[in-house]
Amino acid sequence: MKFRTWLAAGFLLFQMGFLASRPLHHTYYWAWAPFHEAAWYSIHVTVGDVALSNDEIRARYHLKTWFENGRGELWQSNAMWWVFRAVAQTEERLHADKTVTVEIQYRLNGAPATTWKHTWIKGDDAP
Amino acid sequence: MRPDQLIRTAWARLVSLESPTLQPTEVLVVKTLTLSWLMTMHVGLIAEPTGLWPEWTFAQKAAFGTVWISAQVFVSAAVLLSRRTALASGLMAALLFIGFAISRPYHANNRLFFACVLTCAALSSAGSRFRPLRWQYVLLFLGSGLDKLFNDDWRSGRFLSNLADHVLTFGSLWAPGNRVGDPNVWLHAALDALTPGLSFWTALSAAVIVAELGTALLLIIRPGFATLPAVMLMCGIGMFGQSSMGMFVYLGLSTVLLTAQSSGTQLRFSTRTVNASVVFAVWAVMSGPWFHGWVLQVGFVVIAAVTMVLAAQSLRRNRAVAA
Repeated sequence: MKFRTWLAAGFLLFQMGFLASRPLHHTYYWAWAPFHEAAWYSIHVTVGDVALSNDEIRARYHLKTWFENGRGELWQSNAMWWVFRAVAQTEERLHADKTVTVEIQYRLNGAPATTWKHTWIKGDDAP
Repeated sequence: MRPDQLIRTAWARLVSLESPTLQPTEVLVVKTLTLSWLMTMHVGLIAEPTGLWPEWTFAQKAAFGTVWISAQVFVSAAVLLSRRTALASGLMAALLFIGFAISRPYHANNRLFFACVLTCAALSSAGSRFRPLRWQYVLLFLGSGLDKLFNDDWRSGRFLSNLADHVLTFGSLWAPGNRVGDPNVWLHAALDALTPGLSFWTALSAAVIVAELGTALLLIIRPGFATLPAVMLMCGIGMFGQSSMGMFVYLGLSTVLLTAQSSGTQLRFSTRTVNASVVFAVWAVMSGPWFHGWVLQVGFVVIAAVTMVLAAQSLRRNRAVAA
């Protein structure tokens, strides 16, 4: 068998491994599960003592604003994990000189609202 | 070279399905998807480097964006027009994987799958019975089906019921021409007429799961038969969301191209033979900025109807042969 055939087989096996282990983690890379969940969500961010506006929040996390429902909520058409990760990675990268608190309220697949909250204490996440 | 000669040469290169390592239908899949990638303007900027290496801030600079877009357009053109389709596919896949690694917003399931299709094309060998591209499609439908099968909200129909509410409130999801939010008139009319309860959504969810798992299974045992569930599913998704779901519907529909029989540039779909140039023309119409709203929905109705007629003809022919 040719080397590139082995490579192709390895590439597909890698994906199969990811697929099989999907229930064990939240990442949907390689999981081929488009539209497995959808949620309306809103984000509230406080930097120090200052609450950010909706526009500031969306610019801070580069959130797509296409799917806005007119009530200040955005629509995530994939796992909410993507939003949590976007927020966490941005805050860890910015490592602001003030404490940042992020609260995300979301309704997953029409279920009652759930809250995800995280605080980055000044200096804690700075590299 | 005169402009008309240049156009004729480029068209001849585009519809050519010859490759040293790929089967003609595999070349067709890679080229049509790349055409959609270009025409739907998926060649996008990397907005924010919050991927694996957040310190790669160079990706934020405007100059990098220009280089990035230029590289994608150049390599896409190579996929479409060069004789080394597999090599160009590998380069395009590498560009996309670099994009996913350095930018979180750049990553999306449908883009990642496109990169995987290109990778499998690049890694295909001439004369080998093992065709990575087909197995990549098996994984797509298998993964999608299994994930839904083990998801409570999908099995109960709650996900689809909720999604319909979203789509009614918001309008169309993303469609070519960068269109979002157009009123989904047909969905409104259908739901008003049906007034479906949760049992309807449960049945529809079951149909989606069966179609996905069925397509995966048929791609393994009877590839030609995978066309019907794949097309019905994709047309249903397209009409429901009034959307191509990024690249996803194109990727799903390309199952038809992958499972066709080929002889030169002639392709046989079920009982009909068409030239590759017809396929490219249809694909270009489906990928253009005009393909949204009612045009998109009518387009998917036509595709679904043609597929059902061909499937019925194929079934009749098989029965006649068996008799």
